[in-house]
Amino acid sequence: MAYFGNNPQRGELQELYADLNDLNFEKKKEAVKKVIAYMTVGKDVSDLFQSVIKCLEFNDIEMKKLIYLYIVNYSRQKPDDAIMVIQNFRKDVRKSENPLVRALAIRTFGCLRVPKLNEYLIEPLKDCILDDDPYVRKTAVLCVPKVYEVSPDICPPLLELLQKLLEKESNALVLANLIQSMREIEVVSGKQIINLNQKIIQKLLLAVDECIEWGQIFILDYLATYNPQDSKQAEVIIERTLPRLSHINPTVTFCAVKVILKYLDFLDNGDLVKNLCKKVAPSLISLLSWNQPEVQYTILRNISLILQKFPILFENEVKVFFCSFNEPYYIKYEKLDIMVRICDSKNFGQVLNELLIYLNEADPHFVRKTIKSIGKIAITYDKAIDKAVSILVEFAKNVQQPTEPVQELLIQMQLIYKKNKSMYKHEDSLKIIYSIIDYANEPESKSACAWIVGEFGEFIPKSAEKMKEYIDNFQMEDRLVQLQLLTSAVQLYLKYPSQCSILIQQLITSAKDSFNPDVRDRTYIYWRLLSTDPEIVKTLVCFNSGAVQNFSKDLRLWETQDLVVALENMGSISNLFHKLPHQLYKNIKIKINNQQDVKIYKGEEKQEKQENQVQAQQSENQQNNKQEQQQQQQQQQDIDLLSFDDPPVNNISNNSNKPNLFELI
Amino acid sequence: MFGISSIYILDQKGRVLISRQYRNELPANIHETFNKKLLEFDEYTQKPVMIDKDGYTYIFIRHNNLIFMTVCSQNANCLMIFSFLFRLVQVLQEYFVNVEEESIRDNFVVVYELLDEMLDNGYPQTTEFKILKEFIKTESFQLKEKKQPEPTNFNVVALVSNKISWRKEGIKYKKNEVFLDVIEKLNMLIGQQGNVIKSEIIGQVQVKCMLSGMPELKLGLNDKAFFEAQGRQARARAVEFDDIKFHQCVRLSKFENERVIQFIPPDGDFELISYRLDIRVKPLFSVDVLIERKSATKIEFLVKAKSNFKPKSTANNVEIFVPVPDDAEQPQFRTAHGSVNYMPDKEAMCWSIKQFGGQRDFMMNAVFHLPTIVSPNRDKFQKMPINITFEIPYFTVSGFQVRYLKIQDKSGYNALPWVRYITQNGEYQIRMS
Repeated sequence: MAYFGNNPQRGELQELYADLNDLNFEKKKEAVKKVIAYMTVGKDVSDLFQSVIKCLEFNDIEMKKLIYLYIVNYSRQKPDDAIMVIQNFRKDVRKSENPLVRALAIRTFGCLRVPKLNEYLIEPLKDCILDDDPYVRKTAVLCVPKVYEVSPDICPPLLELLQKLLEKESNALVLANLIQSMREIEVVSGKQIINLNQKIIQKLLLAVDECIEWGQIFILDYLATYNPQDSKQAEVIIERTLPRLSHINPTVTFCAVKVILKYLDFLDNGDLVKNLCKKVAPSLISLLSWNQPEVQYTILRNISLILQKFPILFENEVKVFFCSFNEPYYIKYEKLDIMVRICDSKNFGQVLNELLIYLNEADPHFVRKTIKSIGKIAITYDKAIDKAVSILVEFAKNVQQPTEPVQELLIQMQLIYKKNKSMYKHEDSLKIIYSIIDYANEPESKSACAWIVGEFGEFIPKSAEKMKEYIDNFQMEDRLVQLQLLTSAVQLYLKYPSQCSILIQQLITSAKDSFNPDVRDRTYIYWRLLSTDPEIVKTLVCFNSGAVQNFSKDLRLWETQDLVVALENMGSISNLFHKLPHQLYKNIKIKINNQQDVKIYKGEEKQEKQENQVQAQQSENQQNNKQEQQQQQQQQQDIDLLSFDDPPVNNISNNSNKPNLFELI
Repeated sequence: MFGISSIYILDQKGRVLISRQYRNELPANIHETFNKKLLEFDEYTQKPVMIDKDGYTYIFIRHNNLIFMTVCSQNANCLMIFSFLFRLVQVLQEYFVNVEEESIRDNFVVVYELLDEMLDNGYPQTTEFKILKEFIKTESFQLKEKKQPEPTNFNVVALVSNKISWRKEGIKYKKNEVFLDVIEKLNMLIGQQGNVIKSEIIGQVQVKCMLSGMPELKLGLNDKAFFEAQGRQARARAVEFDDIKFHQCVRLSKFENERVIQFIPPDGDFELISYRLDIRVKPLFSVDVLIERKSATKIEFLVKAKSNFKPKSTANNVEIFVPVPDDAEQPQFRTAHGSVNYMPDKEAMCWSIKQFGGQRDFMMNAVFHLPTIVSPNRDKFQKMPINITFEIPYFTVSGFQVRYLKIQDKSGYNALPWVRYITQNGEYQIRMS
C-alpha cells in the first residue's frame, strides 16, 4: 500500500486503516476512537480522512460526534476532501427528524471555517435559523458569527434573518444566543446591526428571568452597553435586573451589578440612587468571599476601577479588604492596593493597624508594598503621620540586612520628611533611620539617604564623615545618587563650611569631568555660585517650604471618560489588566462618548462632616470642588490606564525629582 | 464580550490530555507558550491570568494534578470563563467522581462530547449535569452503568430549551422526602488581644430532594426583611441577611418583591441558598498562648483554650493548630483533655479534643527542644496565626432558622421535610503576635 508512504508510524496507521474499513461496526467505532486519541496527542492522522468519513454512513450519534470532531480538526488541511462531507451535512440538516442531529450537523458545519465551503452552508443555515425546534435555532444562531468571521461578504441575508428573528423569537435561550451572536458581529464589523425597540427590550428583560445562567449573562452584559432613553426606562431596567443580584453564579451577579451601576447615571431620583448603592454593595462584597481565589481576583481587579466612580459603595467597608494569612499573594496585592485607595481621614488608624501586621509577611515584595502604602497614607493624611512614622521607625529598629523593604523604608521616610520638614520632633526617629542608612543599596534609596544627610546634617552625628564616605565612592554611583549627592554636599557645606571645604573640593574635582551632562552642569553651577555668592546658594538649596505639596487629597484618581468605557467592560480581560479594550485588541474600534462629565458617587455623610467643619465656606467649597474636579479631569485626560495602577506613587516620584531641578535653575 | 478560543486540559507537566478549539486558528503549539509563561513566575507572583506578547490571554485553574486552561484571542469576559471552568470541573466530577489524569484519559470521548455540548462558539451553553447526562450517556469507566436505552432525544431537547431546564417530568418516589442541611461557616480573624478584627458567616442550605412529579416548594425563613415586608413585628431572633443567593430554580423576582422563596426543585442533591452575614460575633473559641523560653535550647508553650458558646451545645472534633519553631524537636505534651500531635511538616502542633462543651476551658502544656544551631526561620512561627477547626451540631451562629417548608404537587401527596443545622469553622484564625 503505497498510500502510507514512508510514514514512521506505518504499522499503527495501517492497522487503523484496516479496522476503519472493517465490516464489523464495533470494530470501526473502536478504530474511530483510537484515531481521535491520536489526534488529541498531536499525532498526524489526517491521511485516514477518506476512511474516517466513510464511517459516517452509520446512524450512531456517538460515532458521528467523534467523526465530526475529526473533520473540524483536519478540514483546513484537506479542504478538497472536506467537500465530500458536505453532502452528509446537508442530508443531516434537511432530512433528519432528530433535532439533536440537525443541530450537531449545523454546529460542526460552522466550525469548518473553510471559505470555499461556506457558500454551501448558507442555505442549510437559513433553514436551521427558521427551524421549529428551539434547540436547533439556538445552535444555528451561534453559527452565524462563525461564518461571518471567515466570509463576511456572503452574510447580509443571514443578518437580515437574525434581525427578523430578534423581533419574533420568544424562547429565552435562543434570544440570549441571538443577542450574543449579533453583538459579536457588531464588534467585529464595527456596524450597528442590532436595532432595539421598546418591545425587544421588554422581551429581553423577560428572557433574563427564564434563561439558563449563561444566557442571563449574555443579555445583561449586552444591556450594560445600551444607553436608556430616559430616567423612566433606566428605572424599569434596573428594577428588572435587581433580582439577579441573588443569583448563585458570580458572573450573573456581577453582570447585574454592571447593569445597575451603568444606569445609575440616567436616574433623576437621588434617593433611589442611594438605595440602589446600598443594595449593590453587599452583593459585591459577597463575591469577595467567594471560595475560589481566581474569582476573587477578578472581582478585586474590577473593584479598584469601580471605586474610582463609586467611592460610596465601600465606605466604612475597609475591613472586607483585610488580607488573611493563607490567601494567595496575587489576592493580597490587590487587597493592599484597594485598602490604600479607600483609606480616608476617618479610617486610617484601622488601616495602619492592619498594615502593621503585614510587615511580618514572608514575601519581601509584599512587605515592600506595605511600607510604600504606609508612606502613602502618611503623606496624604496629616493626622496619620505620627502613627505611620512610629510604625516605620519600629520596623527600622529590627533591620539587620539590606533587604528590599529597607530600601522602600528609606525612600518613604525621605518623602515623609520632605512633606513636613518641621518634623524635628521626630528627632529620635531620625537617629534610628540614620542608623540604617548603610543598608541602602538601590539608587532611589541611596539618594534618599544622601538627601537625609544633607538636609538634617546638623541633627545627626558625624554627618560630614558620612558624606565623605559617599563622595569617596562618587564615581561608582548611579546618576540619580550623584545628583542628590551634589545638592546634599553643598547643603552640608553651607552648614559646616570649615569641616566640609575639602570635601566639596574633592567632590567638584571628581564630578566636573563626569560623562553625564546633568551631573557636570550641576557641578559647574554650584561651583560658580559658591565661588561668587554663597548666600544665593543658600536660598536655592536650603529652602524650607513643604516641597511635596502636589499630593491629591484623594487617593482615588482617574475620573475621566476612559473610566466610563472601562466600567462598560467590567469583568472582561481588558479590565483585568487595567487597560481599555482598544489598547489591548487592535480590531476593536474606539468608542467615542460625547458625555462631558463623569459623575462620581461619593458618600454624603462625609461631605456633611466636611461641611460642618467649615460651614462658612460651604458653598465656596462646593464651587472649588467642582473647579478642582474639572481641572483634574483635564490634567488626567491623557493618563494611560496602566499608570493608573499606581498613580499616587508616580506622582510622588515625579514630584520628588522636580524640586531638585528647581533648586538649580 | 467574546467567547473562549480554545480549551485545554493539561497534566502536571503541561502535556495536552484534551484540547478543543472553538474559534479562529491559534498557533498550533500555544499550550507550550503557556507552559513557558508559567515558568516565569514563582509562588509569590503567579496569577491565574496571563497574557503573552501576541495578545493571547491564558486563563486557568488547577484541580488535583490537572490544569484547565483556556486561551482567548479576544476581549472575553474573564469572570464568566472562571465560573465556567469551575462548573466544568463540577460536571466532570459528577461523571467520573475523581477528576484526575487517569480518569480524563480513560474517558476522553465523554469529555469531548461534554465540551461539544457545554460550549458553542466559545460560549457556555447547557452546563447542568442533570440534563447533560440525558444527552451524553456514553459509558464512563467509573460509573460502570448498564447499557441504557437509546436516548429519547426529543424530550431531552425540549428540556434544554424549556423554562424549567433543571427537572424532567415523570420522577417517582415511593416515599416523598426532602432533607435540608443548614451549614454555617464562621470566618473569623482575632487579634492578639482577643479583639475581633473580622467576622463573617457564610451559610449554605443544601437540599436532598426526593419528591415525585413537579412539586412547588415554599420555604419560610426567619428573615427580618420578610417580616418587615409583611408588616409584621420582627421576631426576637430574625436574621438580617447582607446578601443571599439562590439556585437558579428559585423565582428571583418573586423573592425580590415579596421575600418569598418559591421554587420547583431539581431532583437529588443541590445547593439551594448561600448567604452571607456580616455581623459582629463573639468568638466561639478563644485561645491564649504563653511562650516561655526556658533556655536557649528549650521552649515551653502554655495553651489555654476557652469556648464561649452556650453550655447546652457541644463542639465536635475540635482541632487547634498552634505554630511552633520550624526546627523544634523532642516534643513533650501534657494535657488532661484530648491528645496533642506534633506536625513538623506544618510547623505546628495539633491539639485535638473530640468533644468540647460550651463555656469550658482546657489547658495544655508543651515543651520542645531546640537545636543549638539556630534555624534562620526560627522566629517565623510567632507571625503565623493559630488555626482552629470545629463542628457544632444543632446550632447556627446567626440564629438562622427554617420556619416551614410547604410542598405542593398536583397529585397531592404528603411529603416529609427534614432539617438539620450545623456550624463549622471557615477560616478561623487567631493572630499570635
